[in-house]
Amino acid sequence: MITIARLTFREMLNKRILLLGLVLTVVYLSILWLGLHYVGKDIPETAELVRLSLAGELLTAGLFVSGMLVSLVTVFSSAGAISADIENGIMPATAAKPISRTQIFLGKYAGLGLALVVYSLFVFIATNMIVWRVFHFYSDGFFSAMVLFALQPLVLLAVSLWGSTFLSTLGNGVFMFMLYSVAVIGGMLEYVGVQMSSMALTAGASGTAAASSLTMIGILTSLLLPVDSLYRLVNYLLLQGSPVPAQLMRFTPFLTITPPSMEMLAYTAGYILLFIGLGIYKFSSRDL
Amino acid sequence: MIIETLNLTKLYDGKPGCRDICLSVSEGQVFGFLGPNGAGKSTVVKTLIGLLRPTDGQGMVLGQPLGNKQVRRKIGFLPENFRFQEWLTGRELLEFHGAMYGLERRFLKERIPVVLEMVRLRGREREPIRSYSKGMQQRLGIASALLPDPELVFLDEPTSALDPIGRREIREIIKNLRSESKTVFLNSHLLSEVEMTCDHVAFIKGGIILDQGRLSNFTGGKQVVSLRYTGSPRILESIRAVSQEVFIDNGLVQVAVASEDLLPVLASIVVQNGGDLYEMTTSGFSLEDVFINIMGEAADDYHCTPHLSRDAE
Repeated sequence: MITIARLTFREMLNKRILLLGLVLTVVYLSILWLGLHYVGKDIPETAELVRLSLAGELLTAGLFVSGMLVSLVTVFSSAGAISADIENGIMPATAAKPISRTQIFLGKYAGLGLALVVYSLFVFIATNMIVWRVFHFYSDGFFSAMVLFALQPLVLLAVSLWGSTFLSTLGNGVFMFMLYSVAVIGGMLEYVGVQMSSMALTAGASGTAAASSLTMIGILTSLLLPVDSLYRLVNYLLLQGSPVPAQLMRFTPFLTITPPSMEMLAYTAGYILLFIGLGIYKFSSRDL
Repeated sequence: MIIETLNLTKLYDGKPGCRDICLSVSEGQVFGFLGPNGAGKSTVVKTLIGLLRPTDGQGMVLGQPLGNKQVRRKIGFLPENFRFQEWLTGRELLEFHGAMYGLERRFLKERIPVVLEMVRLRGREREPIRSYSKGMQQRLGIASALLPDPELVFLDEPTSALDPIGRREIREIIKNLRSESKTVFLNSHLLSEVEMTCDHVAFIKGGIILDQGRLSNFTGGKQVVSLRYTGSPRILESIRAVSQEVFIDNGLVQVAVASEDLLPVLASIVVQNGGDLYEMTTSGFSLEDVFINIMGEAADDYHCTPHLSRDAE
């Protein structure tokens, strides 16, 4: 398994998708830094609450884009992790060796996972550094948030590798992108639902029903792919120590009013294990 | 037996990849598996190695059931239409495959130069595979298959991308393996390769083994008599009564005969049945003649029944 993991990690570093992702990440971080720099320099020293409020909002927005970058790199680098090797004739020479398909699958997961975790840590730390540099905003929940942020690609990777055992590379890429989009939209709808309830925007019974429907959609999409709920928890952990509560920040779809429960975190861990198990089963039972 | 199968069958969505394959390959044999493209040769090899799960039947390789992980330590395999990680160098690829075989670093350090020498890639191992020609990649694949010093080697179309010099080198490698009592299972549709290297052969078409046995039993001592004549259909019927291996090629009736004694008999059949004989020539009986004969005989609705191999005749 370590042999496969090592080769997969090296292969990942050789892929153009990672290089392209890194270039785009540097471009994105530069734009973020420039944007925040211009926003930050016009805030008077005395307007502490405005500064903190803006810092929180822009940090969560920045992490949303960072999460999206990490997710897209994850999807496009892993969609063909197994299927492409089967399609182009690499897999028969590998699978004919005295190693089990479980070892091959886990090796791929470990190699890709390590590269993606390193990449997501880089993006997370860089985004936080920029916000800290401009707004002098530091959260006590930084390390917990960082761990959860790095968990996001591992969730996507488990599903993507499972899909790669029976879908074509293109088919799996499209499937994963659609699934990710559904999870993100669902998370935003849930946030809108929560806001509608908490800010008394609902008028009467029909408004309450609409808010709870939106919340329900969000919960269901979180169960389908618990990536957005991780992002919400990351936001919550970063802002929970802020003197400006999220409720008082402006209405943006990136904030978290009600954090996902600990049960959701346990569900996410089980979700990863389930899809790794399904992937191993599917890969072990298929013809090559 | 190194390989033994009984009615091994692999269906793809109900369509046969191979059906009722009964094979016996003993130690030290160089076994040629012959058939046209799409006959099911690769399906059989992949099933024997464990890449495909058989739909029915049984099989043993090196005394273990099909798909056994440990037995693969003793098997070398060159797949058809394979590709390697092109960003690796030749040496890195062999180190990677060696690690998957569980070979120790010390053994690999000695073994890699040996296999590179065998396939004439010594000195090119530091170059990335993407810079290799197709023939060089094929030879690297063979080096990988020979890396663990295997007891059994499966070569699936090993000479398909090679030039005549490369093909001769592969033939030499196979002969060396035979001299070391290794067993080689050679999939090929290049009959000349098989004829020069194999001692046993099996013919497959439409996923079914049509015939198998010692190569010399198919070709040894036989001659092909080519006849050009005019006359009634009774002549052909009478010729078939003399030899069961009769086929027609470009208007010539070709008859396989075991001895020269039959030559005057064939001539008299034509004359006595009122025919005119214009041409009568003899030539050696090649594997190609056998192949065409067997493949030509096989009707599309041929049904396999376990048969005696030519060894037993």
